[in-house]
Amino acid sequence: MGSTGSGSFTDYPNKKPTNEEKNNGGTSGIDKCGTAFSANLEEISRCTYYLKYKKVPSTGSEVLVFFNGYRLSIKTTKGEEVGYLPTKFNYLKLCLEDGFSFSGVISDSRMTPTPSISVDIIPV
Amino acid sequence: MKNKNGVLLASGGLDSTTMAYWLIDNDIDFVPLFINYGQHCANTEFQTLKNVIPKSHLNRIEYIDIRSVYAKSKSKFIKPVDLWNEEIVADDLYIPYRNVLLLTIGATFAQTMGLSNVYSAFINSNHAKEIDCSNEFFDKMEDMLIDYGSVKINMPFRHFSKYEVAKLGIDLGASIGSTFSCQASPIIPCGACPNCVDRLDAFRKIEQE
Repeated sequence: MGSTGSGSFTDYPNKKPTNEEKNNGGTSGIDKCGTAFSANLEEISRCTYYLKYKKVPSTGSEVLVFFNGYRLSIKTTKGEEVGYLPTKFNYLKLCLEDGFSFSGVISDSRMTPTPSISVDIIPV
Repeated sequence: MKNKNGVLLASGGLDSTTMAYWLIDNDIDFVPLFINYGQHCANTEFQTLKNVIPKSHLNRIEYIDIRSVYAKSKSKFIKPVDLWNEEIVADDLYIPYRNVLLLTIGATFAQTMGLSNVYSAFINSNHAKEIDCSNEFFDKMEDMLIDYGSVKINMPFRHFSKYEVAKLGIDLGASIGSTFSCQASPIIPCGACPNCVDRLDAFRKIEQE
């Protein structure tokens, strides 16, 4: 209630890229699909893993990127969702559709002051 | 302290959840009131509210259904879009007079229950586009309800930032990470609407401290 900003809806691509753009893995013209990245995950406390175990996965745990139908998300190798990628990584949806896969590890995880998880991800 | 007891407008969001804990911390008793005004995320909000409200107040939640009031609204807060395939801007989420509606229903309900206060967790919105989100509006609304009834509107967080509310929530033991405040997506927070962006910015700032 009463938020003052305009949000970041442009992170959600609302059109398919052209063939040329698609070959580059998105609308930016940069080969993002082949690029490693690090991210702090969102909504940890609302995802399956935390709801099931009431804790965050340990540092070093292996994780995978997937699209859950709404958000680009991170899951464990057992398929338990641990958090969402920030929307600036929404270009990965097109990469996944193009056949790219992404995996990595949890680089940091904490329970306080609020549950938080960081990941290092590479294309595989 | 008894005259401070009242109704809390509760949505399962970060601000109102923190306020529930703040009221308890200040020895103020309250009835949590959830209003379904047709927001697409009403079910998610209500389920979340039941998860995050202090256990002492779980069985005291009251639910008011006024969905029909916005049934013809074109707001994307009422009729959600597919964010991946449809364009949306923040203005598309606007719902006319929502805060007028929520506060007057809260005041009406409070008086019906014999309570003297409505607690609302509206926060610092001096720059909000909506006329009923401004501090000027809240001042006039408070004055009007005091002049024409016995219920006082209380907004203790109105000069707080989202970050300050989140910090307070943590200090008071609220499960702020489990709250839901998304305007654009009914089930999973979109991470891109103004509410999500504000909330996530506050969390990031806290995590970096």
